[in-house]
Amino acid sequence: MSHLGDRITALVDQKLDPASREQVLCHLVDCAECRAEAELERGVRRALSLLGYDRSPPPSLEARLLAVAEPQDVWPPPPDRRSPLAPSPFGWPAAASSRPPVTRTPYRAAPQRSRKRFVFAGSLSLGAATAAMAFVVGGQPAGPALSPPIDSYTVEHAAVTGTVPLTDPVTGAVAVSKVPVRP
Amino acid sequence: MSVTSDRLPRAAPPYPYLLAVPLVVVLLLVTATPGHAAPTPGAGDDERRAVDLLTRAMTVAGRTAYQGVQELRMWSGGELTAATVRVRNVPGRGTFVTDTRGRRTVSAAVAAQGRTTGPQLGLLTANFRIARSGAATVAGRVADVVDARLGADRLMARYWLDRATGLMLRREAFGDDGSLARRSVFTRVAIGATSGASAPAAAPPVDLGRRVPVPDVGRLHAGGWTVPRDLGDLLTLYDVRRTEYGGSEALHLSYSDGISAVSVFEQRGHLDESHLDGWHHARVGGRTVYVRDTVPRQLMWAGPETVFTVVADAPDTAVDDAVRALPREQARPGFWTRMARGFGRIVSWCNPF
Repeated sequence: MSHLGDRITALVDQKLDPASREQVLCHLVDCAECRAEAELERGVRRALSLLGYDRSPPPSLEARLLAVAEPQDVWPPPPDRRSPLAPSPFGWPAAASSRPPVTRTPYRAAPQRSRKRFVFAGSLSLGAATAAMAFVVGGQPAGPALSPPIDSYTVEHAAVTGTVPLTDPVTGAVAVSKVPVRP
Repeated sequence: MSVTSDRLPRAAPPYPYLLAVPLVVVLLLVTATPGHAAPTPGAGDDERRAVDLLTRAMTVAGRTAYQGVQELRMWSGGELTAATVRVRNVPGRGTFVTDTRGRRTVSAAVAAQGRTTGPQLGLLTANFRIARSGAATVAGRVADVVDARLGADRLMARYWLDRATGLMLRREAFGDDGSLARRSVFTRVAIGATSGASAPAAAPPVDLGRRVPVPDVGRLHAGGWTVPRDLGDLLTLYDVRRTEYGGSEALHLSYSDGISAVSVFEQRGHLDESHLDGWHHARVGGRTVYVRDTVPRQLMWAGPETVFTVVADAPDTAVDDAVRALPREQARPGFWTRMARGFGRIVSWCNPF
């Protein structure tokens, strides 16, 4: 024998129509378990009445609570850019979606947009870091620090240009004296 | 043999002048060899005689021993740079130059490798009108005087060549304004081996690197080297060599007009300004460079990722032209220049090849 379940609450709240109420009462005659549960609920209701909570919730609140309890699509539907008459990639006509059109709410669109934002922000950060590194690297001197071997250079100059006899025979860093010349 | 135009013919790449210069030199040497036809009388007589004298002067160090005291003078930037040196040449061993206090200069090692003035003589005869202008006495010796003129009568250099041996006893070079720029003269000279004087040891050879073949000179541009064909109006590139110092490659470019000589050395890297003892800043060619007071002139500055060093036996105007013709690094590179350089370096790091 099945028990009354939620109909006990409806009985205590006096929400049943006469026929249903008669049926429930008949069941309580024969079912001790449902009878005990009905007594328990009546006791709770009496206790609430004594505390002043015997008023029914406003209809608007009840409607909103029921709406929340209804099942909803959490994820957006898969994109279907093809026309219903367009051939599918596999050769047969694409089936029209059996799902009713769903109005996108901001809550459902948020995951995809945040993903784009994440990719955009990541690219921007990478580009900025690369540019900063290029700026720093570009300002640093290139190659090794050099102290040109000037004496060796001078010897090479003398040997290649052949400073004797057509140019001065002294090619090294000779000790020189400098004096100003009056015009 | 003379060219009366004021400027060198501008050769098209890849540097055919490098080929032309040796050909001129060979021609000069052949015509100067004894046994050839006597020079034709007339206006060309003095020219041919002058070329003969200069050609003989090229080889005097290899066949004649001499020693003496030589005075050097260089006028630059309103200052006179002077030096007095002792010169001793021993054929087969080298020319040994010491200052008046007996210290050998770095040039002592040069001479034993033979003369490479051939290209310079070719440029001299190609760019200037050469002629024997007379005779004079220098240090008690009779000398033939040879003039090098630009155009009809603009004197650019004058040489006093010992009539007996061909030794260059005196040499003067003039600037563009006609003023004396450089002078070297023997105040005392003795020809032949001196008895009782110990022969100096042979000078060690100098590593001149490897000469870059003419067809490869153009490729140096692609490698990021700066290789101007000319420095100013007259100085022409006639020799390119690659050498190595401390594991770092250097490029040696030689320029000359026949009278002046400028060597440009390029080395990849940046200038270490913490080791520049003896150098000071000076304004040359419109920019500030490091200069050392020596003979010849020495200059140095930082270019774009390259250090340029110039060794010049040339008047101020030629040195100014040389500095202007070569790049320099911007004191403060612009934003985009800096970014482009930075991106280039980052890409080079990522490039496995």
